[in-house]
Amino acid sequence: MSGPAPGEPSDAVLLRRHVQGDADAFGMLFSRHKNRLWAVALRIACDPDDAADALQEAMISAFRRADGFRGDSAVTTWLHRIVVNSSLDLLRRRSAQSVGWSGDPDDLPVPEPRQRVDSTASTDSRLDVQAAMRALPPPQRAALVLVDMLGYSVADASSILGVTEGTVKSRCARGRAKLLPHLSHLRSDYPGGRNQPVTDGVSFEQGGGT
Amino acid sequence: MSGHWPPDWEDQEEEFPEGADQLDADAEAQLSEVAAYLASVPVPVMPDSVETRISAALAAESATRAGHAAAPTDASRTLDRKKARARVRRNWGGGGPHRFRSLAGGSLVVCLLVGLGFALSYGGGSSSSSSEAGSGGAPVSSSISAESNAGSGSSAKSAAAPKAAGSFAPAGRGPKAATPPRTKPVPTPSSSSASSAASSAPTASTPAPAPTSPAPSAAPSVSFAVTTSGTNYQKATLGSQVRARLNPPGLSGTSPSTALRGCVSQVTGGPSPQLVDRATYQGSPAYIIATSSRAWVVGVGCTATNTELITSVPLAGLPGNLRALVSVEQYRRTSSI
Repeated sequence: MSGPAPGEPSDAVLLRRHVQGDADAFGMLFSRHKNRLWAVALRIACDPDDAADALQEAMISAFRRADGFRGDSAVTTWLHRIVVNSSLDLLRRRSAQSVGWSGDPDDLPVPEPRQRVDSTASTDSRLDVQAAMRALPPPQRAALVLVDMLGYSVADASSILGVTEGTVKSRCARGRAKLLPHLSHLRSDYPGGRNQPVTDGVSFEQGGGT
Repeated sequence: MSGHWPPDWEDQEEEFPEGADQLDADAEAQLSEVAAYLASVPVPVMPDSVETRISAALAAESATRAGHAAAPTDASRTLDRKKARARVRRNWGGGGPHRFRSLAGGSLVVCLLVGLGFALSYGGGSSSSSSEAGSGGAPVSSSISAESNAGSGSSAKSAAAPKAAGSFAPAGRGPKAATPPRTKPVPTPSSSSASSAASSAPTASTPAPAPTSPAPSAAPSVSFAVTTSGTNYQKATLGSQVRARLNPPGLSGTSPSTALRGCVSQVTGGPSPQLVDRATYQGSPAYIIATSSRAWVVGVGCTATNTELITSVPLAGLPGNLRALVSVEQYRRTSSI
């Protein structure tokens, strides 16, 4: 999961080929970034099934709208934006469905199993993180996923999310503050490494979220 | 992206909190630790099931796109045909020539035309064609088809070689498009089906048979004068406009050039026209050629080998259904049967 290997076409070239009718180009593009896109969808949706739905919807949307890509940003940024929007749209629809309950008990959605924040499960810190992320409003969650978990710069996250950099910083700060109580028991485990963003021949500013 | 969230998604203050830069060092360190911890969480690997599912969805999307891509290709071919006016007639009926060719009913149409007096629709038509019709072989004369005439130019060599016919074929057709001139008799239903007639048509590698009907352009014997009425013929009223010029007869005109003589001969299939009018059609310069039963519009560059046929309409008072049959028959002649 990274940029193109030496000798391989860049993301932009693959996308252009796709637009020109190359039947395999988009598949290669998806294959190249699938794990990172999956991470975005999964972290935002907080549910594998929802993430799969959102990612599939996003990929089909990207497939169809590729000719509208103007090259103003990196292809990965564009793909991430579509995945983020798709994930948030899905959550929004879910939220609307829960709000629009008719009052009939039979219409209540089947509760999904949720992992609670439980310090006793600290042996699996990833579960704690996943559970803690659920506590965040999805916009904050998306900002944290992009900046803190995937290593995008505030500027790139701003482009992906379609908000100002100040808003990204705000969401990240608030999100971290909300996560702190849930993750404090893991403080001793905090490592120093960071995830590295993928590149599409474009250098990404590191950090920036703090 | 903000501003359209469910209410519980919104923070009261979206912008960076004013006091954020005044956090004490400990709080700031704690938040930094959270960020560092989040950064350490490994990127999950996409499950195979999800990858398979999305790949399948993309493959289906790709297949759909490929299906849609075929339509614009066809459309572009149609546009190409519009550029080459002689090809326009290939699109009559909305289907491709291959589709038409496969219609066994085509032979039935020929039979009906013979039975109902095919010669009537070509009043004053070639006597040799009529004799062929009488002998059971419906003539597929070159009276209308620009394409069919392409190979039967003024020289014997062009009459034997279908090279020019290929120039009217839609792109991508390959050698099959280089069909012989449609002077080849079409078997009647009693002798064979239309499909067998199609399969018996010589290929590009087979020399085309010599025309059984007179090769009009080889020895243009038509006599006519060219009028210059200046009329702007219109698609919707072409028939009535031409009829108005036929009755009473049109203006006295000038003597045609050899090229135009060959053109007219090819277009009418031999009979002398009652009208050859240098005018405009839909605003574009064109020749209007008419016999008593039919009118043709061709480009001003019309020659025996390239008639630049734009359109054609029947003029005789044929019943509508018979007129339709004539149109079908004309289509059959313009398609490579």
